[in-house]
Amino acid sequence: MALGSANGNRAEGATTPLMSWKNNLRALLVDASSTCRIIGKAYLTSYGVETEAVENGEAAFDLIYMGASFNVIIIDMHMREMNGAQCARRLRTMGVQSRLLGMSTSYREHEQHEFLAAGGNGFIQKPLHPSKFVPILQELDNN
Amino acid sequence: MAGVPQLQKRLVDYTASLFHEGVLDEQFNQLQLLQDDSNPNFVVEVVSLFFEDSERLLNDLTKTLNQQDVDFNKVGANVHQLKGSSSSIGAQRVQRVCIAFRNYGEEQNIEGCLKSLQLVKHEYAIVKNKLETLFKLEQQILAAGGIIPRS
Repeated sequence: MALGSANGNRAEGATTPLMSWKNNLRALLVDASSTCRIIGKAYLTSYGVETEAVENGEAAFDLIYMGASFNVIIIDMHMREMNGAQCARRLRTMGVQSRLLGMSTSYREHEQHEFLAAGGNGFIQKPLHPSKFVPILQELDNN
Repeated sequence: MAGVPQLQKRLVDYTASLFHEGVLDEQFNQLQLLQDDSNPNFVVEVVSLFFEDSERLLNDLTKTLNQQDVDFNKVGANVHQLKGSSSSIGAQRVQRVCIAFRNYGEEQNIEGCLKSLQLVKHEYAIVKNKLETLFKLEQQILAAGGIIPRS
């Protein structure tokens, strides 16, 4: 478990995060489902990660253009207007250096190859669960 | 009028039956962990959002599959969303039916899609009904001055 100072940006009345990190970890969730965005954001926030959630690739690009930066961007692989690979490719073209993870309940192999070829780093399976994202956060925090 | 201990037992037994029948899976229990004093109604709120999302997706799918020229990309995107959201709240049987649905969509098999749509609507109605009953039981316990037992 990573030790260090607790995440500085905590909302008034929020409870203490379940884990604390050396660095100020920031995550962006890109997911068309509002149910998944709420759950994903609640999970990551409860683990001390400052999290934003948007519903599609365009909204993610807008945030980046406005100067936001993230340690990790988790991208729904099967959004309507663009898939995970298309989103990843555009983010890399914009100069985004964040860890890019494709998220889905299940994958076809060609989809995974496409995502990695587009500049993605790896995958995380939906539904989000601490056992899946904590190791990733620990790795990010240690780099 | 049942006392608190009886209501609590009813809730525990009812919840257990939902897991036993495979209507809910472990992910639903995980949601409870996200509920706390700063977020006391998290589970009910997320589940209500799931109901709204699902109804919209199911209506959309019904419309899309009844067009002359079916837009299978739209079908696929909606099924993926439904699969993802149902998995996130632990609605296991809804998620399972989406697997076949997704395959039929990729094969552009209208018959298969229509059959799957019926199955999904059926499973969705079941999980909605059961969760509403579960939340009602919780409300009864709280109204009687009791606390909700958590595993």
